[in-house]
Amino acid sequence: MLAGGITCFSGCSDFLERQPDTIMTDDQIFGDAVMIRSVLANYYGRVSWGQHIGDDYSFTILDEAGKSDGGPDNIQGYGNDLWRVYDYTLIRNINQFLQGLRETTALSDEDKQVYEGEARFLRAWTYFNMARGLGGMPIVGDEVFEYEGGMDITTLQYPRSTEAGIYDYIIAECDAIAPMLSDETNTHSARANRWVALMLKARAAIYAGSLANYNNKMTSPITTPGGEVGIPADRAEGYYEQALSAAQEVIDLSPYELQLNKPDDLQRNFYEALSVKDNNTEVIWAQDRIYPGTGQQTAFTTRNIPGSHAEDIDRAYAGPILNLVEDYEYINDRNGDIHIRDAQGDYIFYDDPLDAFANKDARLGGTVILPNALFKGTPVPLQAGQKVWNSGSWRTVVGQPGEEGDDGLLITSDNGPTRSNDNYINKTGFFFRKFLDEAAGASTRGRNSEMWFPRFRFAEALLIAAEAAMELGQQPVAVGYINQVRARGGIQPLESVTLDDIIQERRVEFAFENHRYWDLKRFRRAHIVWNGVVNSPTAQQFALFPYLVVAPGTPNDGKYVFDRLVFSNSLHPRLFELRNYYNFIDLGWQNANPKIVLNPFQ
Amino acid sequence: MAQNRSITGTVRDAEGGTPIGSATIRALVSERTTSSAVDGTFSIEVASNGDSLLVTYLGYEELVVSVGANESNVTIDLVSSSESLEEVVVTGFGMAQKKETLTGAVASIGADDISRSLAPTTSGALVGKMPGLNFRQTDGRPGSSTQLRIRNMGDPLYVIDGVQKDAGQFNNLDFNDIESISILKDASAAIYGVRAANGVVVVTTKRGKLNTKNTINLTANYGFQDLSRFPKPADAVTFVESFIQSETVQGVGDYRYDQEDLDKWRQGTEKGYVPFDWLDYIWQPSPQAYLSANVSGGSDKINYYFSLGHLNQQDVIVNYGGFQRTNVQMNINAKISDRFRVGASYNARHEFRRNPGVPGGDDHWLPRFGVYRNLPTIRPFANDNPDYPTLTSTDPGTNFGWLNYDLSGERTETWRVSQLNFDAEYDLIDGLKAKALVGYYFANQRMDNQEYTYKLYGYDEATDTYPVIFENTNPWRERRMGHVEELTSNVQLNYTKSFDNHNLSVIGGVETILRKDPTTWLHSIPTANALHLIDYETMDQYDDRGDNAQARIGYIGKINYDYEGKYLIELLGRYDGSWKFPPNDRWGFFPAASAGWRISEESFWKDNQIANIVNDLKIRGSFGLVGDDNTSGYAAFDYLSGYNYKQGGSVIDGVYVLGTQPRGLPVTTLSWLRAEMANVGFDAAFLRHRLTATVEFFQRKRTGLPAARYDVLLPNEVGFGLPNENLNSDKHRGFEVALRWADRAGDLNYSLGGNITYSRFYDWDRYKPRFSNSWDVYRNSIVKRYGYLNWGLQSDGQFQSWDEIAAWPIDNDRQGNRTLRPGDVKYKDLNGDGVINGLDERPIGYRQDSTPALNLGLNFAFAYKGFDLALDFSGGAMFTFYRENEMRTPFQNGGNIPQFYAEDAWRLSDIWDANSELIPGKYPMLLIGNGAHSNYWNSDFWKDNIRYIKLRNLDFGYSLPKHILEPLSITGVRVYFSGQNLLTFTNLIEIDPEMQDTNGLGYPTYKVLNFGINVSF
Repeated sequence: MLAGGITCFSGCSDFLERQPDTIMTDDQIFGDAVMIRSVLANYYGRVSWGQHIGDDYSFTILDEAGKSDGGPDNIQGYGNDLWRVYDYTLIRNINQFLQGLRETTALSDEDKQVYEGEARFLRAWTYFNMARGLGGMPIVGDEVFEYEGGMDITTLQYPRSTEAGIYDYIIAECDAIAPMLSDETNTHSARANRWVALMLKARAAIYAGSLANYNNKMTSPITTPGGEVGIPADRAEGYYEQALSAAQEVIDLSPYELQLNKPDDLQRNFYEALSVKDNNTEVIWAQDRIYPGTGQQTAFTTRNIPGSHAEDIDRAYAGPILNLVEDYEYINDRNGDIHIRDAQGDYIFYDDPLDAFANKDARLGGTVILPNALFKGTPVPLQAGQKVWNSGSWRTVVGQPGEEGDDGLLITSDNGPTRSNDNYINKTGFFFRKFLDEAAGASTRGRNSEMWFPRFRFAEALLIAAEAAMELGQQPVAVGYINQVRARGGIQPLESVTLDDIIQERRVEFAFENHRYWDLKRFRRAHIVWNGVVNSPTAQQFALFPYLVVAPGTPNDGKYVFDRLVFSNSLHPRLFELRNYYNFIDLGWQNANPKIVLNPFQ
Repeated sequence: MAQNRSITGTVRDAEGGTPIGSATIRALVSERTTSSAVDGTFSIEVASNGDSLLVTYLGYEELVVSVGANESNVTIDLVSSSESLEEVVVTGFGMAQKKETLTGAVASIGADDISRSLAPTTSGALVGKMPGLNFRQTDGRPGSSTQLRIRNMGDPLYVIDGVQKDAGQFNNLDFNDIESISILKDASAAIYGVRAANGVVVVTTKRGKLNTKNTINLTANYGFQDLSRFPKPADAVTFVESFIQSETVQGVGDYRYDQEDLDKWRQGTEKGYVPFDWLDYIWQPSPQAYLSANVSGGSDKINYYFSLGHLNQQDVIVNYGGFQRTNVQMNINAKISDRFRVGASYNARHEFRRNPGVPGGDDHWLPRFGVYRNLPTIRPFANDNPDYPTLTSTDPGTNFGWLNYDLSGERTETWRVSQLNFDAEYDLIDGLKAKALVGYYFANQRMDNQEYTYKLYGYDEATDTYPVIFENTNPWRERRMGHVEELTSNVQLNYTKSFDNHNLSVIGGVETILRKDPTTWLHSIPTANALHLIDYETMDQYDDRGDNAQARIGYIGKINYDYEGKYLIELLGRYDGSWKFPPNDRWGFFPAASAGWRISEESFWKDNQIANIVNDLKIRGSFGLVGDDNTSGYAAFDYLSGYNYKQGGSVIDGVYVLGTQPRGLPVTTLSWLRAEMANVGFDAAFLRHRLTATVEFFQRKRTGLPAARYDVLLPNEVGFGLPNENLNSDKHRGFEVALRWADRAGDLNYSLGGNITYSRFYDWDRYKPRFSNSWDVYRNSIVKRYGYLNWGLQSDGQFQSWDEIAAWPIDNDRQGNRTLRPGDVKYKDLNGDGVINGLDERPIGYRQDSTPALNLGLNFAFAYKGFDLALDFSGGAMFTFYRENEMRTPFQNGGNIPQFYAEDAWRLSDIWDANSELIPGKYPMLLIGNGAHSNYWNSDFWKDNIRYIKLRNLDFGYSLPKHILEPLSITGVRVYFSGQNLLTFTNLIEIDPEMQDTNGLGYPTYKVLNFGINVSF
């Protein structure tokens, strides 16, 4: 009866001591190799920034895809903190980990070195992601800061490094850790090895080189007096040389290659090089996912699969836009515009909607599902409506998704495209192909997809090498590298390489891979391409709507024509302003650390 | 066996001498019962050698009259009751006090008033009946509860029969088993220490009485429920016309519906053009039933109360299951000796919720959404063949045609709960008692959900076949299992003594609470719909949520003293510890004091004329400190450093590795919130206790709200922030008034009551607020201001003509007014800069997502001969509803619009001619895909400040006269009709005013029509 009370009287001090379920001490972590690995897994899970398939709307912000779900997106300009990375909590965590790691006895010296290399790689990657948004930022080294009331705060205040300084730091770190890491590949390229470190070095160096080069070619270069933003022009050459040598090391020595195991089907080949993990020889570092495993699968396929192939309620949240599709060249024609009308302005009639895309770069079909293209072996219909020949002119007829006319002919397909504000219906005329998982059940809410997201791959090494060689005046080298990539798309080789060729090649090769935004920034082209002009071919988003021709008694009856339309679900042209070249510094950071100077235009 | 004899008597009103009919007279020894006739006379058999009569009548005080061996005629004078002042009020921690000596702000309600409700849960039964209680029912689905906030202060603590509990346990008692509920609204809550800052609800269940006869009581209810309000979607013709008009205005060359289509829709008979009413298809009135039986009674040593009740509340969504609950309550007390008493109580229930396992997290969302997402031109089945559900919108889940147990699966949730209490009381010496209570609580929950794969079909007329047009291959199976286990103890010493005119009562005690709630959740993908078992082979997620052990201890002391019942003082305190905080910072002391003066007990008052008007007057005040260990931003064990296991993770080397992450800086600077509660009030009775009044003024100031010291400028680059400290404060201030008039006019007994509670929240001190300019202060400062002000633009009517728009000097849409049309919303340019933007926003409303700042209740009761009628109204004001989505954006996501909206929008006189004359309306013209237009900016055009009154309960009954029942050995039979939410008066169009979902598609409260019978033996 009095048990409860007695419990308390005899041991009240213990009564309030309860055991937490998931909190562990430092000793428990660093005394156990399994827990050390668990900490590292946490850090690998925290380094996805910018565009990625976990955030499909991130592809609709630029000129790659449009939001198809529901009403219009209202995007006009870009936020001052778009894809801004400022993760000093992670940097501190990694430094805490390095401290513990260097003292642990639970690991062999060999393993410790690999862990240290990986942790420092993730730290360098974090700095890189910060630098490309913000410019130079404070470099805190291995410091794990402590604070006690009353201490001198100024010892904790680190100024921003220069923009050159932060890239130098990343490059130096990569140089230091590459030898610590393994030469071998690992399952689905999920862990950093020597080649991953070299790829980061090459990418950091090519970014720094192009920033030094093109920023200073602007009429008024974007700089701060202390060099936190703006790299001196004379440093460009050195960076290009570092980029070229790092990229060549990967090209020449690494176990990776430009994956080409289906030469007869280059579309399929390109899709597999990016979107099939097993036996992949292309991808050097990726965020991997598996099923099962608590909630880390991606809903990209679930959300974006065509309605005709959907396995669950969700579908068609976003789709590629015509701007991207037309940037893929024809095999023998570098102007990739889709042939919609002839010289007289009359429609061009196609027996099958897919015929309009014949002879395009094979990478288009590996990146985008075109109207009537196959997915999982069955065609993906995309039909906006009918064009009815009506006493000398065309009348457009559209219906509800799936609606047929009284004659039994399909008016609008279940997939769309439509110009409505309906949810779950395509509005651009195209679906994603790249990263769309073909596995059964991959588009269901209960399972989702194991699709990875590559961060470095072999083609990037080639294009970095081509770009660096081009900038260093080594045209034959540049041509050699870029044509390897073009050949895999089945398009004609180049005889010389210009910056525009590099930009074009990267655009089509790396669509949806988180390169486009950063490329146009470092080449200082973003404000020219996304100029905010209504109906600008590069800033306005466009859709391509296929129609069934209904003209009984004429030879064109039953064929298909296309209309090029302003994409109805994004009302405004994209506008990138000069202030967008660098994220704004949060005023709170400056308040807390007066040594932080602000970015230009701020 | 004693001999009986018959006597006669008369019952009268003591004051006026008028006879009282229908009074109940019971002879305690002979155990006979009768009632008085209209002229007050009665006859009854009493024990020959002396007996006692217990006389009761509504509105009068109970009276016991002894009948001598020789008396044959008795006259009984009943005194009209000052019931509310004689009440015994439970003040917490197993203590009770007479209301007349109460000095804190404590309101209470008894069994009769509680049980007058058709709500499925206890909270709904209290709405509008108690001063000091703010309420809002934002969701009305079966088994749902009403949000209760004592003086708007946040989640209160619930205490049931002396044991600390939560809202779920409170709500799912059978409220017919409750004897009384008290709410501790001020510092008197300090007896519960560190969890009492939001006030305390104290519940006492029914017990039998010693020396009473055994009574059996049966109740049965059956009724029909329907939605009280739901915005009606546009019918097919209205929809098609609105759509055509929009296409005309927007210059869409190719109409989706042409003239021929429109004509056919207007006719509505041709196949393919028959309109469909989704609201009617999905929602239908459904039954609610309640049955209960209880027995109670007592000998001279043992008293008991046993009860069994069952509630079955069907969903108003067609064939959608509902809520079932079975409750058991057993209370037994035994006198072991003159000094030693023991008791045991057992409270158990079985709660069961069931509905089809439909896609999405909230299985009640799709039926509501489907009403709007599906157009009235679409039908649920291919070729109207009910075997073939079709795709009715781009969202397959919106077709209610397949949201049923056969096609979509089943979700069930079961709670099995029991609470066992033992208590003992021992009289040590005169006036000194020892009491102990031990409680063990065990609740088991199990949720099973299976969502099937399904197919949707089209129809091919040519071949008369039904091709599959969509196939879902996503079966979903999940199960949550867990239990809650609590061990509580409560030991106290209690000393009560009166000497001369001094009355003293002292209590000391200790309370401990230990709780664990281990829960696991798992998910699998069954290989076939017919397989309901979960196999390891198909399981892909398993989540162990841990034990979450909690522990609390409190030491309690309380002293009550009064002199002659005139001068009242209460001191109480609690020293409380909570496991959440670091060992050296765990304990807090929460003291409170209150005092009262019963002026009407003074001789100068009693001897004065005024005593005839003001029969009773007490002034009281209280002040104290209570705590809240539920500090926002502080989780248990935040004082520890180290690493968190099971946080993040990634796939490396082909295996998913669960992550472990370093914790932030240990938080050693944060502790519980402190709430200073102040209250002054008075209780008065006037005009022979017919009019009673209670008025209270109160304030609660909470200090110690977490905030960081930002002026210690720790660079962010160090990678950690300074932990929060107890720095900020906020306030609640308000008043409440309760008035009641009870009287009798001839045979009519009636009472009229009303209460109003106003409690307003203020943000108070902020830690060194900083602002860059005066606008920043105006817009963003919250220091010492009303909390949760609702900002927005102020609308200024609508543009009436193209000319007005052309001449309009202010840039109303930030596009040079080129997007404007007549009927569009005009905004006030309050800063005069010629453009409408965020700088023109002003406070236009109240908080949206909480209980109203003002609530009121009106309670009327009438009894005439065997008839009784009771009406409870509840109301609220000073809260805001914001219309968005379906209620604001025309054709949201391709769906329908409300009928009232379409009917009252600006429109063309000829829907095919964009230049035809415009017909004005209350809303802007409805245009497709126009949701980003300036019309739909955040403004008072769409934000309504709500006022409402609902007829929450209506209860009309008839009790059969005694003379019919007596020969049948039945004590009482009452048949009744009752209704809930029968009327709603509000300024919000078609939407339930208690709703919170801005799309207007929240689950509305029910309207219920119910018949019942109550029989007792």
